[in-house]
Amino acid sequence: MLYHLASEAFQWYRQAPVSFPVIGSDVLLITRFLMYLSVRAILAILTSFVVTMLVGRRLIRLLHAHHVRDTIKDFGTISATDKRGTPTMGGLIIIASLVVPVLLWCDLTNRFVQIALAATAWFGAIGVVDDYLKVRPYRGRIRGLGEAQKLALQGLFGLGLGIVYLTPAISPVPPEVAGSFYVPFYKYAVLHDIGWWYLPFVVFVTVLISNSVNLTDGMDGLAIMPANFAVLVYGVIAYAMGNVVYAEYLRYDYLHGSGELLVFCAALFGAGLGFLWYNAYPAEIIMGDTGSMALGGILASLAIMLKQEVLFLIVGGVFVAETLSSFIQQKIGENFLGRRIFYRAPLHHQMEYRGLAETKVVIRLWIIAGLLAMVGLASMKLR
Amino acid sequence: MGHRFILTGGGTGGHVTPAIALGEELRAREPDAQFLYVGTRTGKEAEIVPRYGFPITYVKSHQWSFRRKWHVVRFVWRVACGTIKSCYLIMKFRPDAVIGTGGYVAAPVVFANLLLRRTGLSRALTIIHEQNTVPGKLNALVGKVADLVLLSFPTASAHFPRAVCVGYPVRPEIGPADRAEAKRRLGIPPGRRVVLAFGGSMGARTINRAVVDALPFLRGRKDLHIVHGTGRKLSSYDPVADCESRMQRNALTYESLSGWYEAHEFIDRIGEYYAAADIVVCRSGAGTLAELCACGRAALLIPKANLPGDHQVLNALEMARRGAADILFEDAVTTNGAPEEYVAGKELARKIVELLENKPKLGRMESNALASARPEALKVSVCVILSLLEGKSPDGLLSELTAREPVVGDAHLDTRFGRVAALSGEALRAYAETVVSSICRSLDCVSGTPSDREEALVRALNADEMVAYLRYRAATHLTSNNWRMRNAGVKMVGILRQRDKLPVLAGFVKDRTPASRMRRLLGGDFETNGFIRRNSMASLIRLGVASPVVREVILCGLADPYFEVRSQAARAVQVFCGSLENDKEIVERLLNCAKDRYFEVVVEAVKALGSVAFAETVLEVFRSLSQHQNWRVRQAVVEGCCALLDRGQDVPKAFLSEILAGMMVTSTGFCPSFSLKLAVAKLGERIREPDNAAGDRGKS
Repeated sequence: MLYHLASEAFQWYRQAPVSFPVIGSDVLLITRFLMYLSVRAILAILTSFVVTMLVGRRLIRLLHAHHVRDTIKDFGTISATDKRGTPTMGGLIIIASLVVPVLLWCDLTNRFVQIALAATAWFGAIGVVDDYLKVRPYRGRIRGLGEAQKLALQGLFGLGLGIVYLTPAISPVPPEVAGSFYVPFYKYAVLHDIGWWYLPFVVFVTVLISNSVNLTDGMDGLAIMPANFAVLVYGVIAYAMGNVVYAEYLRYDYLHGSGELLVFCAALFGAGLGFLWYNAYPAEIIMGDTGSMALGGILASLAIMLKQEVLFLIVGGVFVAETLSSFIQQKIGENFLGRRIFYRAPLHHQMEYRGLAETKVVIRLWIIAGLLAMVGLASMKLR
Repeated sequence: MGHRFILTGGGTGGHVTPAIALGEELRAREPDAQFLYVGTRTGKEAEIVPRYGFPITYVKSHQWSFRRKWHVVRFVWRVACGTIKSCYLIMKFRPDAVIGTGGYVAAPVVFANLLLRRTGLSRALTIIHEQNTVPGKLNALVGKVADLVLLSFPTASAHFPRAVCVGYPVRPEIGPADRAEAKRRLGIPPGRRVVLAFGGSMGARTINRAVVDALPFLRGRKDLHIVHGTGRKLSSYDPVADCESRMQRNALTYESLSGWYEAHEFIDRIGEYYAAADIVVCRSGAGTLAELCACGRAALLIPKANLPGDHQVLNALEMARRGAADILFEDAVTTNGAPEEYVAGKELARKIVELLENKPKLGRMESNALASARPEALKVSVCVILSLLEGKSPDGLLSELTAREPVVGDAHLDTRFGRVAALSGEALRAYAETVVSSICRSLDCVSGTPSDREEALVRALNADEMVAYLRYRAATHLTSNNWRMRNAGVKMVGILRQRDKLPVLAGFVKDRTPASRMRRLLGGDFETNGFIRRNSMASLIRLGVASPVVREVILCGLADPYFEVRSQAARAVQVFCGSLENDKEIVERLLNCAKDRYFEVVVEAVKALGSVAFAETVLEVFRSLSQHQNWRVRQAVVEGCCALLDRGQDVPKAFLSEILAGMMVTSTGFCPSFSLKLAVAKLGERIREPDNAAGDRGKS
């Protein structure tokens, strides 16, 4: 909103019939200043953090008072029982403090931002429903959405995203880029413009990424920091791809308007930091599926819109490792072979079982995620 | 012109008999009534029905049990075919009522009638007779929409919206009779007490073998007279030959037992034998139970396992609840790869003697049985059917009948077993766990050592009726083809302390049949997979019996390719350390485990070494492991040292101080505890305290 206000003011002053010799140039300067991406990105970080500070405490008390509290999530882990009673649905903090700065500082007519906001809303809604069903005791049992239901809802969004993405009239991306497949560290497309055959891949990636974040969210602060690192990398790439000069220099396909996603990513980064304020060990609130779904959905749509799906294997390496370990353990080991392959799964439980304290597990995974983010950034230049 | 009836039902004799009985009674009431019996070509009805002079036609059908997934297709196909043919039959015969007595045969016919009624092509009423305490799957389904459901047991009424309990239509020649008179007529000496044992129309093998096996234990009692109905020869089972070989195994001959034991292929005058019997050993099919009640005889029931809905077991439990019978559950073993049920002869003999000695109980059982008999069942059923045909509304009739029969009120009284019978696998295991833990809690007052408490628990479990049922279910789980079921069974055996299953568990741990190629490719090893072996080991620990067999199993487990089995075996060594102390082979394998790739195994092995090995054999290992990078291994070394000292092993002081000095302990505080949480818990306890105290005072 402030962005739109600033741009209106800028236009008006430039074309004003009367010139304001002194004040006019100042206003022009300020409005001009507010239209820079980098400035808006920094303002977005600050705004979102301030919003978390304003909203956080109140929301925690509200959720606690309404008995939106965590129940035992996984059994067989060492620390899970201690977490009972912690308020959940903390993703609401993230979503609130993401949406406010985005509305303030983003160009809302930008298709990239619209899609990212749609992802936030859709996956946030799935998460809220799931969390609500979990905290509400249902005939004495505890249950959220079933695995199949979740997959279906995620896939549905993937389908919608793919259709929007591949229809030239409404896609934010030029059609010849939209249907091509890129891998990191290689500057040309691996598959050129395969058109609608790209759709299943979009669905697959959406489901995979959103689930992987959901799986990782099992310890205080574990999901949010790696997600922040990934968001940061995607923000930088969005900025580069949206800038004619950088895109030319780095041999990216120029995506008109993708720079706006930098502001979005910045807002999410700030929201993540603000959430970590409360979520750091020992957590006062946990994000629940509301947060992990929303984060996963946003990451998925970012990866797809920026043609960096495969890069997620690197920048989201922690998420991928968690998902893989869990898949191997459960689907292959426990269900098919009838034996365990790791001591425990997913990865963070394995580390905990080997004798690491929860905080140590979390910080080690942050470190790994940070290093992987660096590798991901390197992929921009090394092509 | 009389009414026209379609009778249907079958598969086993138990479903055919009531249909025939109803048909005969209807024919007696209305001599010009027309009948058509619809059955399957393979069922018992094809053999029985023509004998009673009813015309019979055949349709296709299939039972609701699928060994393979694609059997569902076959099921759907056959039932669909059957339904279509039944539609044709109904439209051609134009019946006034379709009477189904259950069994999968009845389903297509009843379905067809319901369909035709919807479309207005048939005006026939649908009447169903359900004989068991739990309805079969298909009967339960069609019973929901039938005009009226007639029941033998009131317990079943929970499954149907329009049901009335009328009882089982028993053959009229069976009823209360004088025992002494019957004995005289059968030529049994008057002082003798008669044990009547028979297996029913199907599945007599278990009872035959159990009875023959029980003979040596009963031989000493000269006041007995045992009548054994072995059953006729079937294509799959020859009872006479089987009994004969069994007799030889027990070193018995028919001659040596003559005058005390008589075996018949088929008992013709069953009514008289019932009358003469003091105790009847039999299956718990609905028909047999109704006959037992009609003549008021005490029964020792051996329900057949693995039937749909476990209905024989539930029938038996219902009889036991009424105080009319005692139950002896089958046990199951795997012989040559196929599950086989059996009852131990010794156990059967013990039960029979126990019952015969307890004359007051026997008397009570007889009177309870007689009290639950429904001699008017057949007449009432026929009356109900005819008045329905005369145009009475089913609902009106229903309320009239239920007003006269207040017994329907106890329908929901004991559905506990019914609910448990519907569980299987992990759900059943979870239930078993809650049962055992509630029994455990009720024992809280028992003081003494853990082993005393364990013994008390085992005694309490042995006495519990639900536990007996769960044990029987666990045994059938153990013989399942599905590894998840076997796994759940293994866990249940431990939870329920089934010490007689120890050899089975041992067999599981030692089993080395390779798994399928696909599984081996992905890292699987044996047909009895890792989880089952691990849980068998854990259950062995729970059973708490130390024996040479257990030692063998532990030895095998310590060398198992799956790491969790190895660590579980090492835990077993810790538990059974009393009998395994300084066992050379065990210590050698444990030392191997202490070098394991998996730290979990190393931890347990080190603790086990501490509790069984000589100090000098392990000090070197302990020294090197005290520098292990994983603190849990280091902790195990310290605990192992403590265990050595506890056993009075001679551990040099220098060695201990060296280990202590070199031990990396990382930091002072490792697990943070939240003082607010502790304070909240404390206050919470204070709040609850006065309540409890008041409650206790109130009780005293």
